Amino acid sequence: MFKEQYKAANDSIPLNEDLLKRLVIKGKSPQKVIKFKKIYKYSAVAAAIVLCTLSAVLFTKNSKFFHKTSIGEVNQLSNLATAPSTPVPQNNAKEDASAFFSREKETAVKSDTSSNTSNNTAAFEDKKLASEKIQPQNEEAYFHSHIAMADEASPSVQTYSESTQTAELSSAAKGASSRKNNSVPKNEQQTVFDLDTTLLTLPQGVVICENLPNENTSSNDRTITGEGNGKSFTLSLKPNTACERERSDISDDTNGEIAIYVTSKNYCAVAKCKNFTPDEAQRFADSLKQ
Amino acid sequence: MNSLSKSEIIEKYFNTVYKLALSQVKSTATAEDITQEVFLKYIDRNKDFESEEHIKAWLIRVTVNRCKSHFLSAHFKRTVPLTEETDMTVLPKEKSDIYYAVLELPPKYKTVVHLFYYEDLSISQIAKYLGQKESTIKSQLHRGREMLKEKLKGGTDIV
Repeated sequence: MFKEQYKAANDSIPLNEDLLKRLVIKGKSPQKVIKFKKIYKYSAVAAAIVLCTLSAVLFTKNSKFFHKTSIGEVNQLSNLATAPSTPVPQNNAKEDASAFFSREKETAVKSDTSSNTSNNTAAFEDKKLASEKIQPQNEEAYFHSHIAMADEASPSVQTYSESTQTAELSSAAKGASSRKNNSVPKNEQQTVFDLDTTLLTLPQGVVICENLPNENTSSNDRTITGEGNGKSFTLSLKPNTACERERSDISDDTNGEIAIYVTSKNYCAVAKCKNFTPDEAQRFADSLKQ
Repeated sequence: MNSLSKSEIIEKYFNTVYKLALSQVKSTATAEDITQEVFLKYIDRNKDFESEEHIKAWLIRVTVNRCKSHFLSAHFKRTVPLTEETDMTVLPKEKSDIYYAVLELPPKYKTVVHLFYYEDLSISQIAKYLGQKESTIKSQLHRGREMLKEKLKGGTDIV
């Protein structure tokens, strides 16, 4: 009884026919293709790529190179790579002879070394003189940053031609002599010495302090001094013709000073190293022989 | 795997959904809104149903849940209807008494009573559709009947 009456009451309630028609039409219409599920997949891939890139960037920033060089130094190093012919500013206290030589290498590789060496000599001399007046600050950190850069750029160093080295170092020698004579002598004995290679073989912490012509002797004689980490060295370079006799030996005296005598094709070198270990001295001597 | 198209399903179960919603919310406008939302959800649904029984169960379940959501909504809580009673002047007096007696029941009893007496569903089906135990449905149906007896004062036999 209740059931029939309840059913009849419900059935007597009118339906909204318009709503029913609209829903039926909506049900007949073709469904839209839902694309967001596919988009989710692509966005997941994109998000993964972004995360990988970010982590790579963060890893790079936390690497050894970024730890040991400040932002200013990084900018400076990038400037060295992009603008090798820019004159060295006088107040740039962090650039040393190593950076200067590496920049000049790039300049020399780009230019024709056989024909344009003499043309570049004048500009080279000016830069050289400017760099000689610079005392590097925070030398140790700066030196390590250069070591890191040199490791990365080792292929280019290896392909660096010997003729280019000769041209550079001869121009350096000419620059030194021009301080006295204001002219470049043509047929003088030239000192050939790969300073970059030597720097790489120096013990950790030792950096170049001075790289000056020896005023007391010949115009081609040079003295390079370096110190750091409780160690120091003095390297005297003379033209080969000035050598008394050919030598290639390492002598250790009682004061803890190791003397290295090396005579090569173009020069003779005497290096006196304080507090160097025998291995460090041997590596240093090997670099001088090259 | 249903043989009927979506439009046919809508035509077939429109009455079921609408009446169930109306019994819950006691407002024709709100019941129409809920019916529309339920069928739009059905149209947008991409998954295939196993059978027509599955579709019916899904529609009833979604309607009940949507009615519960309506009672929980801020709009319902902050709004007071102008007239407490539903606009069902078309109903005869004796029919409207029974109908209003059902509408006065608490929602959980109302749902069970409506599905049992109007949709002719068994207790096991109602339990399956609403996701409850059969014993729960039995007790709710029993209490609903008791309340209806009180309201109707023996005027109608509730079987």
